[in-house]
Amino acid sequence: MRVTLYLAKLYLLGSVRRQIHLATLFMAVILLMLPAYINSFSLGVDAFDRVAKDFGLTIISYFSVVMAITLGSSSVPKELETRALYPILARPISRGGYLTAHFIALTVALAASLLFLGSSFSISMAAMVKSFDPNILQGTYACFLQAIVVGAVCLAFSVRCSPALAGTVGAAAFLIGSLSDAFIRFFLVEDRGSALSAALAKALKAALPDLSLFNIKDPMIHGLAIPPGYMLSISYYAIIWVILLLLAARLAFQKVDL
Amino acid sequence: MNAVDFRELSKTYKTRREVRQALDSLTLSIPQGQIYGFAGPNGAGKSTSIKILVGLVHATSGTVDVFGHPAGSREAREQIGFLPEVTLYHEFMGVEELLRIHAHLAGLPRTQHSARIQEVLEKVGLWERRKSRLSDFSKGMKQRFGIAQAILANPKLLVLDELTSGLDPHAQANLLQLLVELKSHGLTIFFSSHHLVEIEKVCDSVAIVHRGTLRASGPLDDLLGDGKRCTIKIRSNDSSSLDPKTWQVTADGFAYCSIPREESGKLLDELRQQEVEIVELRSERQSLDALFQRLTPENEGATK
Repeated sequence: MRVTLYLAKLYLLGSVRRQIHLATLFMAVILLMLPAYINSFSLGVDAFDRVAKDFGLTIISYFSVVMAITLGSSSVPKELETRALYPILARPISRGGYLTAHFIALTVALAASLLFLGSSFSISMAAMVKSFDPNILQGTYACFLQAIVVGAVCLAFSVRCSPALAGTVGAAAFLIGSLSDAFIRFFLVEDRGSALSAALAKALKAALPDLSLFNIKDPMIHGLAIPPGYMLSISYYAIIWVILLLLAARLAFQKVDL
Repeated sequence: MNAVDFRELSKTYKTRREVRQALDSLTLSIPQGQIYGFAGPNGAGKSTSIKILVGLVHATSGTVDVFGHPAGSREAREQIGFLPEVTLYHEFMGVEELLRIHAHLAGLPRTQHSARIQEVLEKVGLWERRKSRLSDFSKGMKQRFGIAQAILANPKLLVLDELTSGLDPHAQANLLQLLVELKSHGLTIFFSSHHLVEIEKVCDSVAIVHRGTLRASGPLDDLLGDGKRCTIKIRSNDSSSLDPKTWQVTADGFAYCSIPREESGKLLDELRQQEVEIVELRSERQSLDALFQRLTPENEGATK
C-alpha cells in the first residue's frame, strides 16, 4: 500500500504541476463574487440566500464532475500514450495498485479543489448574510462523493477505451444517474405508457450508480433537516461503487497488452 | 542458470482488422554476465519479446523465465531494470525527485535512497543536473536518466529496448561505454537494436530475429568467424610468378590469398622484397551487417 501511495503522490504532483488548480482558482473567484452578484438582483426579496446557495452548489457540482471526467478519463491513456507507465509497471507493482494510485491522486485533487471552493463560497455567503452556514460544506461533500463515483467510472473505462469515449461514458453515467425517480416516472415510464422506455430507463437506472442520492441541495436550500446518518449512508454507497468500479477496472487492465 | 530463457514463445495480436503473429516459437537463452544483443528489422518481434520478458505483454503460448522465475511475476520483476524505447518520463518531475519515487517503487530501503541515487546519477553523468526537470533534458540525457532509473535498484538483468535510437554519435558512444562499464560490475545486459555496428562493438553474443522467428543466436565469434585467417590483396602485374595453389588471380589485375594470420607477416615481407604492391590486408571475419542482410531478406514471404 505504501508503494501505491508514493505512486499516487507522483500523479498528484502531475496534476498540480499541469496547473489544474488554476481552474479551481478561477471557479473560486466566481463563487466569491456570486452572492454579491445575486444580491444586486434580489431587490429586497427574502430569497437571496436560497438562490445564491442553489447557484453556488450547482456550480460546485458541475465543476467537480467536469474535473472528475477530465482527470479520470485521461490519466491512464496519457501514460499509455507517452509510455511513461512502462518503467513503472516493469517494477514489482501490481496493475491493481497502479490503478488505485491513479484513483487516489484523483480523489485527493478533487478533495483539495472542493474544500477550497466550498470554503470560499461559505466565507462569501457568511460575509453577505452575516452568519455561517455549515450546510454549504455538507453539500460540497455530497458533490465530492458524486464526483469520485463519476471519476471511478471514467477511470474504469479508460483502461480499455480512448479518453473521449471514457469521458462520454462518465458524462452519460452522470446524466442518467442524476435523474430523479420522479423525473423517470413522469417522462419515461408510467405517464408515457411505453413499456420499452420504461424497461430501458429502469434497467439503466439500476445498472448505474444512483447519483440523485448525492443531490441534497433542495433540503439544504429550504432549510430542511437532512436525516441523521444520511451523509454516512451516501458515503458508504459511494465507497461501494468506487470499490466495484476499481475491481472491474483491475480485471480489465490485467488482460491488456501494453 | 541462465539469466533469461525464452521457450517456444509465441504471440499473436488479434484486432478486428487483422490477426498478426508477432512471435513464432522463439527459443533463446541468455547466459549471465554477458551483453546480449537482440537484432532484427522493424517489426521483427524484438519489442514484443522484451515486453513479455518484463511482464507488459502476455504470451499467447510458451514461457519466459528470468533467473528461474516466470516473467511477469514479482520475483522476476525484482531482478530486472528496464529502459523502454522512446519513453517520455514524467517530465514535470525533477531528476532526483523522480528517482526517489522509483526507489520507493522498487522497494529499496529508505536509508539507502540518497546514497544510491547519487551513485547512479554519477555513473550516468547527471549528478550535477539532479535538480533539473526532465522537460529541460535533451534526448541523450533522458536516455541517461532512463539508465539511471533502470539500474537504481541494483538489478541483475538490465533490459534495454532500442537504447541509442535517435541519438547523435557522441551520445551513442557514451551510452555504449556505459554498458561495458555496467557489465564489468556483473550485470547481464539484454538490449535490442537495429544498429548493428553498436551490437558488434559491445556485445558478447547476439540473436537475430526476423518475422517473429529466431534466425541465428550465439557468441559473435561463432557467428561471424574468429578472425584467425586473413586475406591479402595485391596488384598482380605478372600472374605467372604467383603460386596458383595460394593465389587467386582476378580479371581486373588483382590477386588474393587467404592464409592463417600468423603466417601473414612472413608473406608480407616476401611481397615487399619483391616490390609487389599490397592493396589490402583484412581479417576474415564477416560483418554482422553481412550476416544480418543474409538472414533477414526484405523480400522473404509476407508477414504471417
